[in-house]
Amino acid sequence: MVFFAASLLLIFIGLYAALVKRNLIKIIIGLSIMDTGVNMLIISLGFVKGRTAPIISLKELFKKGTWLVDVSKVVDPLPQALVLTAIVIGVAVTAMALSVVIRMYSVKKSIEIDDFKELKW
Amino acid sequence: MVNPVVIIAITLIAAFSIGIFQFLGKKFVRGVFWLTVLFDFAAILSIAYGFLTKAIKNPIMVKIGGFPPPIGINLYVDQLSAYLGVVVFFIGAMAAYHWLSRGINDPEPKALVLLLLLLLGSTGMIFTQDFFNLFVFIEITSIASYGLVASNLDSFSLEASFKYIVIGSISSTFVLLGAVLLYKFAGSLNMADISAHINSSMYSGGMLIIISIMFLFGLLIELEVFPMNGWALDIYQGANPAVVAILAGGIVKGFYLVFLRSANYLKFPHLLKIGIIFGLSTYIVSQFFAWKQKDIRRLFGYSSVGQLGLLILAGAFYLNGNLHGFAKKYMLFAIIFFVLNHSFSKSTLFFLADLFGRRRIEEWKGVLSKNKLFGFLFSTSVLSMAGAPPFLGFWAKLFFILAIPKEYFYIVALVLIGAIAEILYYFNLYRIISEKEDGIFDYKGSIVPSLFNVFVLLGLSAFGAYKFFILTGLDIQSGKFLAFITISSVAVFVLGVSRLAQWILSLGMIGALGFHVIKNTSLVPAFNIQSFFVYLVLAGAIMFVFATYPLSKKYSAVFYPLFVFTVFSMVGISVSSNWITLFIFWELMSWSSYLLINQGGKKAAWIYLVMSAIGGYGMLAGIKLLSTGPNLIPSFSSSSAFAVSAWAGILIFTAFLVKMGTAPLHIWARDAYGESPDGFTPLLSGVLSKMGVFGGILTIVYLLPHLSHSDTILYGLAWFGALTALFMALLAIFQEDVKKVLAYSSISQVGYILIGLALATSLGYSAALYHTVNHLIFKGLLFVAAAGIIYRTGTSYLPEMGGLIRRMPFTFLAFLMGIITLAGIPPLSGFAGKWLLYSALLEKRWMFILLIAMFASIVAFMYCYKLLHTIFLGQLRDKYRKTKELPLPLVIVELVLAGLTFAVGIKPNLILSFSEKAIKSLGFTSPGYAYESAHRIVSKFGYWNAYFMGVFAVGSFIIALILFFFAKAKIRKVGQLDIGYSGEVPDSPESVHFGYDLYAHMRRAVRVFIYPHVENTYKRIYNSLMAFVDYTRRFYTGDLNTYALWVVITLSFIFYILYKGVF
Amino acid sequence: MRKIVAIIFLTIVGLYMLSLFAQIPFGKPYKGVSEHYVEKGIEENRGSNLVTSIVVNYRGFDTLGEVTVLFLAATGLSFLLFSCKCLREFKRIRSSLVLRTATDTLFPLILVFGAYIFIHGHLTPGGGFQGGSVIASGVMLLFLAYRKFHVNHKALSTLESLAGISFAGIGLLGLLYAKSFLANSVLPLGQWNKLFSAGVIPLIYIAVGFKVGAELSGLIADMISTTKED
Repeated sequence: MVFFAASLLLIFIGLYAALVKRNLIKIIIGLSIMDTGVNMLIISLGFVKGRTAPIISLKELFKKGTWLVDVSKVVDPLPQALVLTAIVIGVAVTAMALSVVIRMYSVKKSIEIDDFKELKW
Repeated sequence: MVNPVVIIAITLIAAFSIGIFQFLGKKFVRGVFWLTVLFDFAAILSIAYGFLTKAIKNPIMVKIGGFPPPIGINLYVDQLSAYLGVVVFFIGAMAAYHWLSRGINDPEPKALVLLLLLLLGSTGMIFTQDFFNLFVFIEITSIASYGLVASNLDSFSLEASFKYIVIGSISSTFVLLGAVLLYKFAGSLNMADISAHINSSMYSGGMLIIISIMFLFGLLIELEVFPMNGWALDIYQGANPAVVAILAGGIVKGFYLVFLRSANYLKFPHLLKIGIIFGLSTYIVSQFFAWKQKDIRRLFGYSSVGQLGLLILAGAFYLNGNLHGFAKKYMLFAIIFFVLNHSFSKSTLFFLADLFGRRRIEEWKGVLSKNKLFGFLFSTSVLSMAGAPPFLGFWAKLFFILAIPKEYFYIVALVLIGAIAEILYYFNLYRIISEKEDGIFDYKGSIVPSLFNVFVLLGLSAFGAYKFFILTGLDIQSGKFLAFITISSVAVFVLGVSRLAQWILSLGMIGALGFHVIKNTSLVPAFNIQSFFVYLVLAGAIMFVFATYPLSKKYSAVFYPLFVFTVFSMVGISVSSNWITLFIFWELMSWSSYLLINQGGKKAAWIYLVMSAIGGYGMLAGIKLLSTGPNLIPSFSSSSAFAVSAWAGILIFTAFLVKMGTAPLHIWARDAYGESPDGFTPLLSGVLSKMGVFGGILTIVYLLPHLSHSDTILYGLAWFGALTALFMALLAIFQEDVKKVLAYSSISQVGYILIGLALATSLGYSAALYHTVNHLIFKGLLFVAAAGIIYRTGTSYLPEMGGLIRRMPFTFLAFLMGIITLAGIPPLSGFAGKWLLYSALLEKRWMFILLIAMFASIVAFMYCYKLLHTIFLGQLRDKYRKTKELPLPLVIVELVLAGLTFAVGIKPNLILSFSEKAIKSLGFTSPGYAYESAHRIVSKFGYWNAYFMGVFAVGSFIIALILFFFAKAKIRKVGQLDIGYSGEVPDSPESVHFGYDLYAHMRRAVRVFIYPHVENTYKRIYNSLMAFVDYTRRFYTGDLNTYALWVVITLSFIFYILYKGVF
Repeated sequence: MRKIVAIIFLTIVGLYMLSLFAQIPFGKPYKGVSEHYVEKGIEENRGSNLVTSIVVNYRGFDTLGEVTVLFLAATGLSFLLFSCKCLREFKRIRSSLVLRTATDTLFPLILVFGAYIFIHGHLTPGGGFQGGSVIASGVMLLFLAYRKFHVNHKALSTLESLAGISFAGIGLLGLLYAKSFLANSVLPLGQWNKLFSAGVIPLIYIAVGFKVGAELSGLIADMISTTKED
């Protein structure tokens, strides 16, 4: 439960940065924090008390005499797989955002939002 | 058929391989790019074609990794996603071509990769059936767009891109959260599987609803709904238009499909609520905010956002609106047509905006006349966007309005108001663009993509019309007639190599249709009110088109095609058998006549169009009120089967009142009549305004008896008619422009006709129909004469004329007869109309109205006299000494009409025998009067012997003439130059023309009546709305933080309205 | 003002979401498709690492998308930062001897470690993405250590393209042989817990490893090349 609350808190700290911070880099940091929060949330959704990682390197995890794994001994592997994808996507977005900011800086020599309000109304 | 996953795999491989090919040179990369796009397009097209021809019956299900759906990911390609895929790739290819032709900034291969992956992402997005996979493809799409939006690398596009990145990240966070939580909730990520786990009772608990809201909210942000669409508008304004064309034309549609599909799989119960709140507010707000827009790209952006709002609304109704049977089908087609229309026309508009390159709307002035092809593409796209028939947007809108359930009438009303607002700003833009201006026009890039787009758009428009007539089961005759109209006007355009050829073709076509109508009774079975108007239209049209030839040299090549279009659509109105076909042809008439008027006065045309739109959409709203249950298309007679609210009648009548120019809806009339091409004005006044009379009769006869308060409505109409007759006549006497005098005179005369209609007695109808024909004759005559005089003298300003009787004796004679008819003096045909109307008013005992009508006809004498006097009498100006009589066709038409008015005056049953039959077809047993002999007509209040009156009047005229000649000796002739100005040379025409401001002395007496109260009220409303809009659009501050804040506020609002568990 | 409004509305949204998470049991057994993945994962794939089985096989399409996203980011970045010497005032400074020596020693080891991670992706924790990232971190170390260090963009780009093509190509082979895109039936599944097992999973992860390593290195190089060098 505390994991949920903590990751929600991370998400909202990230959102807060996007809502309030005037510095473009800080906003990107906020987005990254938000991503992290989401990733943590996904992982904690897959957690099951008292179970092991979904890597079947020991014979005793199998049901007797088959290739069938005993489900009751392993945590949910799917969120871990999903979070891998989510992390990579987060990286990609951050990279794009940073490159845009680098260009923005080269145009106006500034990374403050107040200098980028030309498009409006 | 190609396996859909191959499309994705091949595109990916191609995108990866460009990493190697880029070292071989740009040509290789382009080759790979085009091969891939072509392959993808062909592949999706083959799938779509399979669906279209029913070769593929079930949606295609593709397992990936060899696992069945809930275990593995799968693609699910149904009809809609295949069609959308075709659109996406088509627009994508066009945009890529466009961009390449403009030159892509280095490194070009990277840009092409981004383009490919953008297309890939959106294809995957609409194909996948897995929530998490959807997220992945959304991200592919988004990241590719982030890069492409920034591709111009100037401050505008970078700013737009950064805003998009931040808002897009927030959006995808919610999508991701939603997808993962859905997995937690249902134990699966497969859409169909989750859908099977969900039933609507689960929404009463808190969990599912919050999850669904989060997921759908993420998509809703991408759908650019108000109030969190500031970033989207900034992209439309700031980014490279080629990219924007793909985004608006293809990608956003993908998000739309995904949104609807997800909501459907989630069985989201509040979709309708969300759709109405956000769809409608987005639509309305953006249509109004666009008014004050100075940047053409942002204007298109507002329009795009608005269209998307409409789409969301339509989608919500389609899935969740409890539509049954036909309504559901209509809504589906509305959605498809909206999507297609928007994709093709908006991307064309963005291409053109990019080609020309200018941002500010003022800089677009005169573009239409500078490059014909460019103008054609632009006009077609704008017309279709604004929902002008017969283009695709019109059919979409019509389907949409028909499908909305009647209990949501407020939505119909708001959507139509939004549509009027849309027309207002689009055609304000069009007005500027169609302004005449000289100068060179050049653009950089290729126009081919736009050409392709418009070509497809035209094909789709034909398909839309076909689908509409097939699906609604409207009489196929009207559909065929619509095709006939279009084909014939296109034929006039294509075959008419010169104006002469066009003239002959138009004459031939109108003549042929007339011949067909007379010969072939199937179009009009028995002579009834409809055939009355068919004859009226065709007879008027053939005369007026005959008269246009000498004037046509200065008209553009579209004049005759549009003329034919207008005439034929009026025939269509007259033969239509239900309210919807009436509306379709009505709109055709309004738009084609708008384009004709736009050949002359641009601003006048704009006002005409806006007023027409108010009327036309008012009529549509009224028709919507008429339709009930499964009967979505109310026919004229079926409307008698049920009681309807009075508003239906009033709304429908608005359209007719606008065309009749009844006060206070008359503000378009003066300038539209005054500034339209001279060859068209006779038709506008003589025939087009009579379509209002036709509609009025239909409404009063078929509809009004079933309305509550019908007597009140009729009495009110009579007052409107009377006041129009009086005040417009008063306004006419102070005009100094020949066509404007006639314009006010026209609407004043139509006011009389309205009084006749409002009486709703057989005698009233007789008067109205008689006067309809009569007005066609004399006003047509006067406008033709005016056209000729303007042609010869080069001015329409009355004080510039004078003394033309010596140069144009035939015209004078005809004009005199026209004036006499107008004034209602025997023996010409005008008198009978007055006599019938006054008798009818007496019969009904509407004495006040009678008094006003009589007084108005006294006022009419004054402007009649003024016209005759200032044009023909007095002194001839030097510059007109060599002026000739009007060209022959004009004189012929004048004399024919003059002859007609004389003949009808002597023998009124030339008209009355027709109008009697028409009246009897309306269900009356007698026309309200009786013949004692051929010339002697008797009503309750006395008799009238036309023959005797004729002889008497002609006799007294001859006596007066003889007296005049005898008295001639005492007349002193004043020399031409015999004026004393104390050596000063008079410089303005007013100062030497004593006809100038002839009634100045009366001006003070009636000042309060002729002050343009109504016009100023409209202006005030418009200006204050403009100011309001200008202030409120500051809502889009351009500040990224604010945009993000609105996203959060909207989310809390959605939570608040949909889930009561917390607060 | 903005802060107060932001906090108020974030709190509202937060409360709603908290009320949602209050209803989600934490640390309780799961149901649904994961049961299948865990129970049948070995039988169907022979890969010890179930996460890898899911990432590469059951949800291989996601991973293909993921690779695409990374490719997209690399492409977009080099598109946007092409010949941009935007950050002129920042200079790469000369690094210390310690760093350079350590880099020289560590770099080969890092490469080997990264390769180990992605080659054993189906057996041990980690896989193509992790291994690729480790390799890229080695490249980053080189950038830090040597002022004049350059990557060969041409080679990186070719490598990345080939890796991507082989991933999608393996998928197409699946379509060819097993009538299903990305199907794991081109190669024999082999024995559980052996290096050569799990069908095409190791192959795909090797491709992914190369691709991610090349792309992330390229990203770093692109970012760094925006600064002035002397």
